[in-house]
Amino acid sequence: MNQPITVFVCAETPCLSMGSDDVFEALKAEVARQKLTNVNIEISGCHGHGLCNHGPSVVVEPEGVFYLGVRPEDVPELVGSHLRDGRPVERLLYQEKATGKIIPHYREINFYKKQQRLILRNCGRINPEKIDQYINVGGYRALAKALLEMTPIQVIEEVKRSGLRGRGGAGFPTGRKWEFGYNVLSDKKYVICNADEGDPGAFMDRSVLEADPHAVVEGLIIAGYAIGANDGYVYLRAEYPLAVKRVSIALEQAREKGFLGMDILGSGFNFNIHMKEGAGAFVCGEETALIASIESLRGMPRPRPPYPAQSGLFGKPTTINNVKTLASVPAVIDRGADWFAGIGSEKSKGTTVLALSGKIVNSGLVEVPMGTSLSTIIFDIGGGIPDGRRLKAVQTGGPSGGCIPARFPDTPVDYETLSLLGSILGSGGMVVMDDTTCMVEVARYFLSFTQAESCGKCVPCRLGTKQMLEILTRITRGRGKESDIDTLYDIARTVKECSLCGLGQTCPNPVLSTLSYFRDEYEAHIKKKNCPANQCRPLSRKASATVKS
Amino acid sequence: MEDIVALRLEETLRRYPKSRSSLIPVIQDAQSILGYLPREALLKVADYLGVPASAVYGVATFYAQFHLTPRGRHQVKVCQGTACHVRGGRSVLEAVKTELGIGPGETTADRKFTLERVACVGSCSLAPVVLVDDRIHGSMTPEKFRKLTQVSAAKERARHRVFRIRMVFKIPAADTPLFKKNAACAGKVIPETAPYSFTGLRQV
Ligand SMILES: Cc1cc2nc3c(=O)[nH]c(=O)nc-3n(C[C@H](O)[C@H](O)[C@H](O)COP(=O)(O)O)c2cc1C
Ligand code: FES
Repeated sequence: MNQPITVFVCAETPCLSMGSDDVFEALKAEVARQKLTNVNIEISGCHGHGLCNHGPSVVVEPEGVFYLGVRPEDVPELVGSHLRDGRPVERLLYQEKATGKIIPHYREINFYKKQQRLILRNCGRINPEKIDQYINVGGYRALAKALLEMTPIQVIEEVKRSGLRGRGGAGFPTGRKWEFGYNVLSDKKYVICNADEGDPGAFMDRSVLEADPHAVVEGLIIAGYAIGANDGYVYLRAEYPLAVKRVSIALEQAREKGFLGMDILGSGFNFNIHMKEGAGAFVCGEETALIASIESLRGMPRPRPPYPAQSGLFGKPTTINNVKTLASVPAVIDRGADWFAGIGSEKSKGTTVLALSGKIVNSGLVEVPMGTSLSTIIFDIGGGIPDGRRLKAVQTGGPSGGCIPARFPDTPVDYETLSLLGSILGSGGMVVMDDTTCMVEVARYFLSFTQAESCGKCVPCRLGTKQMLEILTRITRGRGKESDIDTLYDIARTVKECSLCGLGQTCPNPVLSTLSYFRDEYEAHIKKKNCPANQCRPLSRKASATVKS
Repeated sequence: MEDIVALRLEETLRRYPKSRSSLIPVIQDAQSILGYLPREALLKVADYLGVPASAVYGVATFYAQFHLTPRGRHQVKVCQGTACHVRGGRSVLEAVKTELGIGPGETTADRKFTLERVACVGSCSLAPVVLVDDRIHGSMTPEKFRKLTQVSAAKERARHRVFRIRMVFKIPAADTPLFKKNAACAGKVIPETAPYSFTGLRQV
C-alpha cells in the first residue's frame, strides 16, 4: 500500500479552463489532511486520451488510472478511496459510449493505444515546471551527447540521416537546412524557434510548449550548436499566455542547471535563448515576416533570396525551425537516426502530430507514424463522427491546405500524398466535417481568414483574396453567377503563381480543392439556389422562398 | 494624460534600451499599463526611442494586439477558428452580438465590454469557444453566454466598490508601497484590480 504514487492533474489551457487548478489545490490539501506520505501531487500536460472536453483530467501513476470531470467536491472521496485504500472511484472513470464498458486505464483506450508518441513523449507524464522530472525521463541527455561526444558536422549528419523534415508546414529536410546554416561564414548567427502557431484549428505547438517546454529548449540548443549560433530566439504567439509562462520557467531552470549560458557542460559552447512575444498577426509565422517582427518592424514578408540562412535576423545568417521539429531533435540524437528513420513512410520519416477537431467524437492531439491512413485516424482513434452523421471531408493544413473528400479513406497521411490530393500536411491541423457542413461555406470561411490576414504588401494576395472572398460570399448568399466558377479558377491561379509569400501562394488551396471535389455543391448554389448541406442560411429550405436577389 | 499614468509610462520606457528594436516590447508594456495606446503615449514612445512617430503608428496599427481607442473593462473574444466555425461558432457570435448590443471591434457605451473575434485560441477540442478576460469558456451556447455576462456584471459591481475606496485614498499606481499600505487600510488588497487603476479612477 505504501508504494509511491504520483497523481498528475492536467494543467493545460483546456483543463485549466474547467477548473483543474482548484482540483490540484484540493488534492494537495486533502492528501496532507489524510497524511498520505507516499502520494505526490503534480501538474502535467495533457494526458492524451482525446477527451479534453470532459476535463479536468487526473491520472494516477504508476497504475495509469485516469479520471475525468473531477471537481474539488470529488477530491475527498478520490483520495480516501483510491489513494489510501486502493479502490478506484468508479463514477469518475471513463465509460466508453458505444459499449458502455468502463475503461479505467488511459493506456487501454483506443485513442491512446493506437498512437505512437515521440514528439509528445513526455506530455502528461512529467511536471513541465520542474526540470528534474524532465531530466529523470532522459532529458538533456541528447544535449550532453551532442556537445561532448559529437562535432557539429556529426550532429548535422545524424539529423540528415534520420530523414527528419520540418514540421512547420513545408517539410523541408532539417539536416539540410542546418547544413546551409553551418556552411555560411559569419561572426554572428541566430537560431529561432517558430512558435507562432497561427493556423486556426491547430494547437499542437501550444500543447508541446505547455506540457514539455524543455524538449523544445533542448532541441534549440542542439540546433544552435550544430550551425554555430550563440543566440536563440523563441517567437511565441501572445495568445498563448500559459505557454509563455512555461517556456520562461524552463529557460530560467535551464540557465540555473548550466544548460544555457557560458561553457555549457564544460564543452566550451556558449548559448543563450531570448523570448519574443508575437503581437497578433498570422503572417508572422512566415519566416521573413517573423524576423521583421522580432526586429520590431511591421511583420511583412520580403522576397527570398536572400534566404534567412544567408541574411536573416539583424542581417545575420538565421536558421528557423518549428516547435515540433525541435522537440524531435533530442529524440533523434538520443536514440539515433536509424531508429527515427525506421518510423514512418518512405519519404516522410518519424511521426506527425495532428490536432483532431471538428465533427469528431474524440478530439485532441494524435501522434501517429507518418503514412497512417486517414480512416485509422478518424474512426479507430477519433471514434468516428458523432450524432450518427456521415463523414464528408477532412480539412488539413489550415488556410493553406485543402479538403480531402471521404471517398479517399485509405489516404496515407504524409507530405507527398496530401499534396498530391491538393491539400498539404502543413502544421497538422485536421478538422473533420460531416454532411451538415457546406463546402462552399468552408472555402468562404478560409478566404475570409486569409483576406483579413493578408499583410497587403503584394497586389495579387491583397486584391485576389478580396475578389475571391466576394465571389464566394455572393455564391453562399444565393447570388452566384454562372461565370463565377471560371473566374474563381482564374483568380486562384494568378494569386497562387504571383504572390510574394506562402500566405498568398497557398491561400487558393481551399477554393481549388473544394472546387475539384465538390463542384456539384458550387453548382447547386449557383444554378439551383440551393445549399445541399442546408447550412447557407439564405438558401436553406425554410428561407428559400424569400431569397432576394 | 494623467500624471500617475505618464509617470508609470516613463518608468517603463526607461527599462528598455533606446533602440528601434525595442519598439514592440515597449508598446506591449505601455498597453498593459494604459489599457490602450493613446496618441500621447505613442508620441512619447517615438520620442524616447528616437523613431519617427509614423513608424510607431505603422507598427501599432499592423498588429491585432494593439488598440488605439479605449477598451471596455471586459474583453469578450469569440473564436471563429476552423474548429469553432464548424461547431457553430458563427451562431455563438450572433448571440453574443445581440446580448451585448455591439459588433466585433466595438465597445459598449458604458465601457463594460469590448467584443472581438479571434481565429483559434488553441483550445479547439472545446469548440466553440468564447474568452472573457482571457479565461476560456468551452462548448459555448447562447444561454451559457448569457449566464457568463451576469457573473461578470456581479464581479463588476464588486470591483466598483474597490475603485471607490481607492478614490478616497487617492491610491497611486499599483504595486507601490503606498498602494499596498492604502489598500490594506481599506481592508482589502486586491491585486487583480491593479491594471484597472487608470480606467477605474476615471470611471467612478
Ligand atoms: C503564412 C505563413 C504562416 C506560417 N506559419 C507558421 C507557423 O505558425 N509555425 C511554423 O512553424 N511555421 C509557419 N510557417 C512556415 C515557416 O515559414 C517556416 O517554413 C517554418 O517555421 C520552418 O520550420 P521547419 O523547417 O521546422 O518546418 C508559415 C509560413 C507561412 C507562409
Ligand atoms: S478553432 Fe476555436 S479554439 Fe481553435
